[in-house]
Amino acid sequence: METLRLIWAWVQNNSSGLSILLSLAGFAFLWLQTRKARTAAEAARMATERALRAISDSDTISDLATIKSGMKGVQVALHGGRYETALLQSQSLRETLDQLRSRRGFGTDERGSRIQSMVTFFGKLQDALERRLAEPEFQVSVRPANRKLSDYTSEVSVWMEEMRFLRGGSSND
Amino acid sequence: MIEDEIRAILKSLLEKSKAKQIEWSSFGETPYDDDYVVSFPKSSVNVFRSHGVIGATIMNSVGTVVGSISSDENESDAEMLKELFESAREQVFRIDETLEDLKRALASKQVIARPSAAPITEDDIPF
Repeated sequence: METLRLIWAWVQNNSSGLSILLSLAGFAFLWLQTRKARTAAEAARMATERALRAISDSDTISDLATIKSGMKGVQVALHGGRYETALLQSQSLRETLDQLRSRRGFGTDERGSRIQSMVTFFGKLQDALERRLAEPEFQVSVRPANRKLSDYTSEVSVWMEEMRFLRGGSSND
Repeated sequence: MIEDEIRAILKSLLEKSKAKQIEWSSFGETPYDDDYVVSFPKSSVNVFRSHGVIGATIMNSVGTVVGSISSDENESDAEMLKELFESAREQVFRIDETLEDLKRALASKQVIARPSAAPITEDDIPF
């Protein structure tokens, strides 16, 4: 009993100091919990961003595959003398290529200029094809056009590889 | 007026082209006799010659022509367009470089193209 009485007396004498200590301990505990929660929220936010980026990159890879296949389609159509098909595919390719500009990894001036070169080529090819359809005697030189298309197809393949393996998981750009 | 802006752009382009600060390319498949293009991130400029007339067009990011001028429409543009066309053509085909190389080689006192001691036969070709 005596011991308890002594402890109680000590507590009464030092109550303000203890309050401060308890408050500090409580604050430290709360701060730790908040930090943990913030770290978890930050991790969740980063995971969401990574997931969104992965989805966006998948879309870009899919569009690049469409472009590549479209370019090959134009080559086949030109080779077979199906100028109307080549004309329609060229128009579609111009639009899809233009959409690439807003994608991750395609915002640089260098990439923009390469896309513009392809878009311009398809614009010029359309001019030639439209003239061929209007004037059957006008000859479309298939070989140089297909050679250029092969160059562009190879370039798009490189972009696809870059998106798949080099940029995958990167947080740059 | 858009034509005045196009003229100003083409003049700047001509200066850059003469200084070899831009890269012209040729698509090889166009309805025109000679056709050269320079591409920028969201636009391109096309200069071409068809039946003696030189024209220049400016294209937007989807390859649609947004403006053009030609040598037969305005006499004052003819000289500038001719210079731009020649500059683009020279750069694409490396005409000056090729002629310089030939002149340098021919001015040299060294033997340039020694005839082969033995003529190449079909057996020398491995395919």
